[in-house]
Amino acid sequence: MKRMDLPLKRGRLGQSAPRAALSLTASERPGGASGSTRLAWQRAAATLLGLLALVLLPLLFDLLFGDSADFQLHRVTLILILAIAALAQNLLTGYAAQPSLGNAAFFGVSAYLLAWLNSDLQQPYWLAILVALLACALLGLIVGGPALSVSGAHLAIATLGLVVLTGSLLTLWDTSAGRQSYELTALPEALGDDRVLYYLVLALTALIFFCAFHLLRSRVGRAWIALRDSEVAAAACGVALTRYKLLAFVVSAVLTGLAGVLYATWGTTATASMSSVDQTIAFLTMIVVGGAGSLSGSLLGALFVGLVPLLLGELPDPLMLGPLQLPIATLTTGIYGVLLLLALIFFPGGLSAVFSRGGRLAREEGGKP
Amino acid sequence: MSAEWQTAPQEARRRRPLLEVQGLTVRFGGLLAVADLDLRVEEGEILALVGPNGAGKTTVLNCISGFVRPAAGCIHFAGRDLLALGPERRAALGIGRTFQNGQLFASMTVLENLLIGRHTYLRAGLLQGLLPCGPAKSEDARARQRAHEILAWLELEPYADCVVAALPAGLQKLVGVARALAGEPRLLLLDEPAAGVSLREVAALAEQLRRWNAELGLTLLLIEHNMEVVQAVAQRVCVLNYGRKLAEGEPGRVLREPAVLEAYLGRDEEVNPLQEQEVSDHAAG
Repeated sequence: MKRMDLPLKRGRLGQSAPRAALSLTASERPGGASGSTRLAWQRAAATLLGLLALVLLPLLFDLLFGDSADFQLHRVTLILILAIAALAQNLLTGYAAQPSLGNAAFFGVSAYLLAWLNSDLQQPYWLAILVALLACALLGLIVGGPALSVSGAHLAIATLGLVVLTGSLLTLWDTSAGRQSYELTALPEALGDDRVLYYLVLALTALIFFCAFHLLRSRVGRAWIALRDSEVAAAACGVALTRYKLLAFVVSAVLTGLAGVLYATWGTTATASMSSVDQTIAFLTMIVVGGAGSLSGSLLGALFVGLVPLLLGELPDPLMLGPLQLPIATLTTGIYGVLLLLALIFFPGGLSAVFSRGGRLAREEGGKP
Repeated sequence: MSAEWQTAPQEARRRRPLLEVQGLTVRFGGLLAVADLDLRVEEGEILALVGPNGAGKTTVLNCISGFVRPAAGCIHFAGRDLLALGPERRAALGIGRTFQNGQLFASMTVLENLLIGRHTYLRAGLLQGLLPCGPAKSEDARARQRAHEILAWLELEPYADCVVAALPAGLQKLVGVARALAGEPRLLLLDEPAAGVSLREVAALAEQLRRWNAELGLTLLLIEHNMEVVQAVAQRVCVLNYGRKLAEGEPGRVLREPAVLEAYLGRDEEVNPLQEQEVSDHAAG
């Protein structure tokens, strides 16, 4: 490497302000570097601790809840399933910046495919899941192509239309088959055990978040973030915009499909309400409240959205407020709506930004002599 | 660095210019933004594109990098027809680009911006990216090393892990250039590199541009309002006015032509394009 010439040193890079910043950074660099490494270690340690806590959770619940431990664990399983759906929406919207509202369509379709293949056609459970996921990938590709040729609000509305259409088709299927919802009657015996299901979902969720963490730091993840920050610059750097948007759409569809089959397994039923505007709002709430463009935000959002119905579940259904009769399901979506508004107005970065800001403040306070 | 920087130009193509624009015409609705423009940029040359605001300079750059589709004309780069290719394919052929307004990846660190700049050199797809080790990580490590070299060369190394949004504007401009250089282009399109740069820094910027040209063998096509920079670095200058070529040739001669001087009249601060002053407005060229 060549050294800079003298005039250059006096010039652009050597101006007083940058120079001051340069020397400051240089003097702080050892500390700064070890600081960021320390931060990485802290995060890794916190992640491992969290995972350990989740692994030991069933034992803790035994102590806490006794006989109802399995029932409580069943509720935690739902939050983990929602976390996968939140991650799917976040990859597409928070990272690749595609405001698609169509994920609920894949959520319902995969559940119905599982129910049909497994319960009616008597195909093995895992094969049915595999087919459902492949179908989601294919649907993502078929729907994503035309959907991504429009952008912004148009994409949001077009994909919301897809959700409504899918929901009506699934309802039509239910009605014509003469059923309220599609029961999963041939699930593997083992999955009837709440603990087995919990550990299966935990393992899958952990694996998916681990892979997503690495993906977002790879060429593909960087390309997604790049096209979020500046589409023209990404194209000028050689990022094939359409291909990467489509890839995000397909990955998101498959992950949502996985969440869908797990959700159906969890509830032993597939319902048309899985592909509904309410479900879309729940997905959206998870990433906005949790934090768009953040992995921990996906988890936090799922926790939040998973807890709301649990808390409301303690109320009588329908809730009587004077002359008003409020079905709890309506109330839930209403609360999501309020949360969305509050989050967008008061903490646009979501819970994860609030926490990391809090953490940073705490560290800075602690670092003071 | 300069030795392995670029692929050796093929002997047969040496006769042709690196970039050849013929009869380029761009219409925006009823507005004729560029009219029947011919432009040749030789390998290793520094060509400046100047002209009053609205003359169509940025539109020409956008046609070359593929963001604007011309109504007529053709563009050849290293003997290849560019018009059939999308922007990302043109980047892969070796056309780098900076933007008037930066267009940086603001949420990423400086180093990550450069890694995107090297996107076309990397191969890892979705499945390799999922893994914590393997070919994706090793090619990434090599790209990181190259990015660090480029940052060191531009004296940006101390900022490698800074998030771009937090950097001062002057440094951000340099990061934009570093990102383009990370793609190791043969032709670098610079859109007003001196805009917003203080008078004292202009000489240093000119020195930088010459250095990239000399040490990297880089061909530069730059839009510039600052005539001091143009005179200091450009070997040739092309003056545009209302989308038409007004004059072309050596800067010292062309910039004194009466027609060129006249084109700049009507804008108070640019009565004489040679007048030394900071041009800070960013209005579209």
